[in-house]
Amino acid sequence: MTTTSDLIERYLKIVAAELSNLPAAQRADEIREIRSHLEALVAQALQQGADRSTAVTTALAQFGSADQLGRILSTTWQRHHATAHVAWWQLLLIYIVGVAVTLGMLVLIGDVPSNFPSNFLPVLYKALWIAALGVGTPMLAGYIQRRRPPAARI
Amino acid sequence: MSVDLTRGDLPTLILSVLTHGPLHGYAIARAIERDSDQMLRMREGSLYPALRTLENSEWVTSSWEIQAQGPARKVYHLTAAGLAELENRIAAWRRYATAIEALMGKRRLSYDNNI
Repeated sequence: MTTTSDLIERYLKIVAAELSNLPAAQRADEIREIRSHLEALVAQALQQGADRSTAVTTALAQFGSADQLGRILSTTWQRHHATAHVAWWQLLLIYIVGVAVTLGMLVLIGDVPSNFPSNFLPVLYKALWIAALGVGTPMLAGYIQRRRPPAARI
Repeated sequence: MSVDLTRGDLPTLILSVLTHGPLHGYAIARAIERDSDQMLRMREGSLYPALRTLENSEWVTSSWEIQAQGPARKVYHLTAAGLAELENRIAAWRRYATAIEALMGKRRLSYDNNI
């Protein structure tokens, strides 16, 4: 027989299933918060004279669809974190492309030694530095942005 | 007669109720209900995606706080940026409401032969 606690746990399980893309700690945080809110709704209904079963079903109905809630939370998290974290290999690929583009630009504008391409190394070093600045500066800015203290509360 | 809240309005209402002080999710829902004289209703789960969006924009911050009774609750605080955003949204809403009022004021109350 399904108990009222089972109903809440089942609801939370459905939400959690949609949050598989969140880190475990974040997912646990979301579930803990939703559980706390549901329990408060149940307590409110019990205080108003409802029996436990009615209180739980009313609370769950009042909260809305579990899978829809999970999907929207997941999408919201994904949208915010899509550009915040770049894998090392993605960074390396971006850098390599940056070096190639810089090399191409330097050759195009003629900023190369007179004996280029036999004297290739100075141009390569220049491209490596310029690409490092071009890729590194926004990455550093992003890192500083993520590490700065939280916004002041009023 | 109560009205269903549209999803787009919820972040503004959350910012508004938080001007009175930090609140957890359940208390935010009760505050919206109370301050709208029971006129606005919503699926209470929809609070959480709205709160995440507000946190991502740094218009609110949150922390788990021990309560005098019951388990710890996640409490939301309005930031200075959130207050500024709320003021912008209120100004935009008032402009919108004024425009709608002006339009409604010009409506015909009944059809006549001039159509």
